[in-house]
Amino acid sequence: MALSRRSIWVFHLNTGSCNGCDIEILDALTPVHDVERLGIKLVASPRHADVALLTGPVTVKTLPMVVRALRAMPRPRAVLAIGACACGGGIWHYSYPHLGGFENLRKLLDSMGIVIDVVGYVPGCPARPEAIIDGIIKLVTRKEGGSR
Amino acid sequence: MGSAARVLETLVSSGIDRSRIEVLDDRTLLVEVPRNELRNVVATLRRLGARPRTMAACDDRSRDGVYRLLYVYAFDDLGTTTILSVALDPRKPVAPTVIDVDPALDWYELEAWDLMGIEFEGRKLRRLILPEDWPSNLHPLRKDVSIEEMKKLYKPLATWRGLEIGADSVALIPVGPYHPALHEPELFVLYLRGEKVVDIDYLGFMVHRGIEKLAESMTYDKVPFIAERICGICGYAHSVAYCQAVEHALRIEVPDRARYIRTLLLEVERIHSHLLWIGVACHLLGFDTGFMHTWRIREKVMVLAEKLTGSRKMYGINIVGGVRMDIDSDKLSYAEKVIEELRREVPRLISATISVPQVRKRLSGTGILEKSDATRYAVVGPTARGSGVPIDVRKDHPYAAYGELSFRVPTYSEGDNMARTMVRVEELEESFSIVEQTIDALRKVGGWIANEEYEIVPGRLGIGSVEAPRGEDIHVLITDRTTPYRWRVRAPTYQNLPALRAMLRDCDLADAPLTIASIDPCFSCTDRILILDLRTGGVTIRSVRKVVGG
Amino acid sequence: MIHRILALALKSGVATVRYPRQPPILTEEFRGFLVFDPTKCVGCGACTRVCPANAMNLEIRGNEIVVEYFAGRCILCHLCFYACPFGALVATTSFDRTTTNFEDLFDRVAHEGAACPSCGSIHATKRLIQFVDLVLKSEGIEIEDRLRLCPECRRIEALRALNAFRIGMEREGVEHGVE
Repeated sequence: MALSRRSIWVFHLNTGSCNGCDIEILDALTPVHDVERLGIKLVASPRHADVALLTGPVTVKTLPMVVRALRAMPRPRAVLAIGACACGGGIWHYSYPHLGGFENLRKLLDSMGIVIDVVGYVPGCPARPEAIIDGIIKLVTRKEGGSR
Repeated sequence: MGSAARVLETLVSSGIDRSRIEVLDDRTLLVEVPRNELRNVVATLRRLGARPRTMAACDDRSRDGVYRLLYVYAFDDLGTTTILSVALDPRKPVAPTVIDVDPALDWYELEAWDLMGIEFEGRKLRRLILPEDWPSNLHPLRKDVSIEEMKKLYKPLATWRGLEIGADSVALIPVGPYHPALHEPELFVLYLRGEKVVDIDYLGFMVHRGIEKLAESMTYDKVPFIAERICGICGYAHSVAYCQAVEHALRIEVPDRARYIRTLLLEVERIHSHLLWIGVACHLLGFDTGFMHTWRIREKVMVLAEKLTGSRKMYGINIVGGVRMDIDSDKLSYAEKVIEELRREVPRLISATISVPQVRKRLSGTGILEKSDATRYAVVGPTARGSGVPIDVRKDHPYAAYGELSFRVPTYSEGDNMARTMVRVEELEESFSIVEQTIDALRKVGGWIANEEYEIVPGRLGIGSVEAPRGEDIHVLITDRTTPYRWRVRAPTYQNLPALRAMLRDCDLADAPLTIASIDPCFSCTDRILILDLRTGGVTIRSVRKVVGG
Repeated sequence: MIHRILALALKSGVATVRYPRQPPILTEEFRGFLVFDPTKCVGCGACTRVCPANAMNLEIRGNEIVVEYFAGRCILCHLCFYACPFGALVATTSFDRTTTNFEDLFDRVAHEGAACPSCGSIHATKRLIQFVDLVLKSEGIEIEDRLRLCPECRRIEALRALNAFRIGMEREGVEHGVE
């Protein structure tokens, strides 16, 4: 099953997650879910990536690097916020050393002039590999639909 | 004679005043130490063979008008914990440093300074956890600082100012924060001469989420959920450690069935974690076949966990006093079936992996941690057991149902990456057998799964320790009426990371990622920073160069 | 070496589950997202007290009291499902709340608020008060006017009553003393 005419390259951006969602992303890449059959490939540099898989509540210490990594991505930029932390701050949302999820980061990025074209949300704690696959499919459908 | 009494006698005979020692229970001693005697007492304990487990700084000003440091030491051979309590001036808390007599406490002092504002005389203090531009008088864990206030006072920087570390004749290689070999945002700086690593810096604490402060505003029943989310790999161990700390403080009896359920799930978690580690290690060696096969097998464990608890990773079934969900006999039979499959598949996988000469060669003789260094840095878990230090909380300080089960603690003396791998491989076998024993026990042991009739007494001290897949998790907890007063979490990687400096010295650059991985670092648990003085191999560093992307 | 690895591959066969073509590996024990039934919710707020992540929120907006389930923050512990006395939160095994629209992550129900007869502030939902009335009536308990007040006014009212009672007692005591 081809998801898109081109293969989708994803970059994993952990912004202070507990690892739960990160191991589920790895799980999606390994034999049982094997997302490479859908043309999804994990790459090592944000400059090669179509989609950033963002996990974690964006801690203040990772923030500068997260901004740099997202800025390095080519347009149209797509971000998939994975897990309860990235979607809404999760159980930490009240605490002090983080932004509390991607929505707040997006506001900050807007003020800096960094545009994120499409955003997908995969809630769950941790998000299941199947949900991550669903998320990428929805994101790509939206992205291709929008750019055509 | 109980083990606490024996330790008491040893302490008194080595010159500690009897009147200052309080016996909390038959495994725990509390010693009130005056500030000026702290260094002597720590040196004495280390000489007697005690192992530093953790150190907690508490803001006790509202309780008895002082700041307090709690140094937790263990006599593992006697299964006894000794807590040193040092009271400090409430206006200007200053303590003597002990890192020259006990180097394993380096990070603890930096953290106490950073989060609690306690100064240590005779050493250089730096920010460990908080960002460099954090307001200098704002110490989050002090009771008079509220989360709202901190949010008002600190606005995070979105631009990266560059890391100002440099060297003249030593090459620097930054690994991280976003690096293909890491799945977490952490930063290592390797100092190289030619192909050889001369030193390593760990700059991190990027996953600091303010857990300890947050828990002070949550009720006892909600904290297990937050404890579980300290780490997405060994989270259940943290949640058990928290519950045990509360149970120890409030003297809560946990029903037998709950103890067995906890044991079962802890071992399921260990199996998944060790398989994950073996897979990642194969991946770092470039042996992706092994990686894929291990993760294929590991998926069975994930499904088993979901079947037993309702969630693949965040089991979420612990409450103070027991567990909140029972495991019925259908689920037990399913678990038995999965373990049977694993017993067949894992040895086949391991023998195929070890049969690859490149894997064998790159594991043997690399990243050696000598036994003396292992004791000096007080490393824990498979890292310690790979270097011939036979410590295991399950045996030394039994908790849950481990006291009633029979298992072996695999120990290797080589101290290289192969030894640490083999420790984990053999532990897998032991875990299979523990799971089987627990299943048998759960078929026989009936009764309640939680003891919810307990009274909350403020001001009690409790310690909960669990052998997580990576080593000892230890939680120190002081109770308050509705929420914990102070909760100190110490994850195993916190103890193990400083030892990397010993392991990586004179090792090839190509072996560095594997060696870093061989301690199975879990940064979301640890989240700390190590800053060296910038003298590496006798070279004084003058020029300043931006390291990351500069 | 090679023969061992090949044997391993041959023995294990194909492991991939072709999701979304094939159904996912999902056990019936999975704690999935909650489905919020607005017809059953009365707005008592029991769920907001137990939720460790504050994914359940109760908010007064103008004349309405809004109960909100924020799936994006939900940690799937199901504590609210056990806490809800009306069965308005249904536990499912669904894991798919994936969306590209942030607002889709919220489930909201707006309840009509009941105004305090004394100060006019909104303090509880009409449905909750109706429910309490029903329970009290079935128990044969008479509903006092004081129960209609908001907690603040009720406190003042109670103090006032207590004060009147105390003054009455004192007067009685004084008269007793004169006698």
